[in-house]
This record gives sequence, C-alpha cells and structure tokens, in this order.
Amino acid sequence: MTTPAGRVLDAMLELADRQIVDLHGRRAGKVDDVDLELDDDGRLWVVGLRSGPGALAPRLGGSVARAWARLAARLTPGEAAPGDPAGDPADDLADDPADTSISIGVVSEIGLQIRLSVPAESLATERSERAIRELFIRQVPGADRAVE
Amino acid sequence: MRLSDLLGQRVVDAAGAELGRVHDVRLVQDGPPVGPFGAGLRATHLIVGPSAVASRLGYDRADVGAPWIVAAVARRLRRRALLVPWDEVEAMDGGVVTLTRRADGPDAPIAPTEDRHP
Repeated sequence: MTTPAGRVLDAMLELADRQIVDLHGRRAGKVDDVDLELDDDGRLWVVGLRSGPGALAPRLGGSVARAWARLAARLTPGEAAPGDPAGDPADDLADDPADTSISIGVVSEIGLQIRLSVPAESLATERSERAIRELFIRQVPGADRAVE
Repeated sequence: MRLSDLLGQRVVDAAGAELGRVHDVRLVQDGPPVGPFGAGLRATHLIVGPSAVASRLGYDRADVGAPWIVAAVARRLRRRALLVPWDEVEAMDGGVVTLTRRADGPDAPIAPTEDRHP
C-alpha cells in the first residue's frame, strides 16, 4: 500500500516512537530516530529509520545518553566494542552497533504504525532483541514454553 | 545526519537574532519513488519555537481534541513557533542553525505554523 504523493508530515510527531510492524504484522521495534541525507542540490531526504536501544541514545542527551549507548552496545553481540569511555561521547553514539538503520525502501506504509515489506528477521535491528532473549529471557524458568 | 542531530539546535537569523530551537522537521512526500512506500520524503521546513512539548503531544493540530486549558496553551505556543524553509538554512555548526536572511526582513516574513495540516 502506498501513501499519496505530496502528503505532509512532521518527523517527530508522525514518525518518532511509532510502532514498526513487519510483513507478517509482527512487531519489529519502534522508530527511535530518522536517517537524513543531503543531496548535491542541498535537499534533505529521509533515507532510513533507526530502531533499537542504541538509536534512542542521542535523543536522551548528556550522561544518560552515553550510559544508554554503552548498555545497548553491550547487549548487541558480534560487533564493534562500545567505544573508549574517555573518548568523545559523540563517537560512541555514531558507530553504535545496537543502532541500525531500516532503509526507507522497505517501508510500505506510514500511518499509526510503520509497515514494512520485509520480515522482522531480515532486519539488523533485531540483533539486540535476540541478544536480550538469549541473555535474560531464556534464563527465566518456563521461558522455553513461552509463546513467541 | 540524523533527525536527533537537528532537534534542539538553536536557530539564528542572518542578523544573529535568536528564533528558538528546532523542535521538528516538516517533510513532504514528493520525491522520486523509493520502493513500496512510493515517493520519497523530503525535508521542507524546520519547525522552530520556544517549546516542543505541546507540539510533541500533537495538541497544536486543529484536528486533535485536548482539554481546553491544554489547547489554549498549545495555541499560544503555536503562535510563537515558526516554519523556517529548509532552503533558507545557510549553515549548521556547533549546535547553531544560521539562516540566509533576517526573520523580520522586507521580503516575506518567516511564517508562523498556524497553517500546519490545513
């Protein structure tokens, strides 16, 4: 389903914090930030949506953002280290492995929910969700009988 | 660049006058096709003002109901918010967005956001 061309929307109001649902209607995180790109003519385009605990960090600001980014990075396996604590906090946030973009090219609809044309499993943003399930949820007695 | 890089930045006009801070970015879907979503989303305006709270809650939109006192405060804040065209942004540096002209210049003044979602 497509949205009408020429539609006007405000990014914070109508994109941020919206629920993302995948091809099958399953929840796939929330929009924590929006990727923007300048073209050669100085026009600014939306190129992706950021989701995951790392993507939320820049919106929190200050020491809370740094602490949140490090926690998110620790929960995301198999990628870069969370960064040098003595370094520039902005660097920590910039390359946070727990903060991954969903291309605008796989978005099929923006409404009360953000619908995707792909399954959640194909998104890199699912890494931290899977890590949390492995590290914590699976340790809870009876978790293996939980309904997905 | 990310949306969060723009939010909260101070906006000053060409004469150095403070206009407020960026609290949202207005987009229009009129670009080349980008897949199933259709036309791409382009930033057209920065929404600049003294407060983002009422806007974030959506209470400054005409089609959103709100308790009367909240609506009154949101309307007051909306009158003070500005729609700054993206093509009038001269530079972004060190948390400050500088515009190409004066907000109170002789050409068309920078409009308030009264007309949002007409």
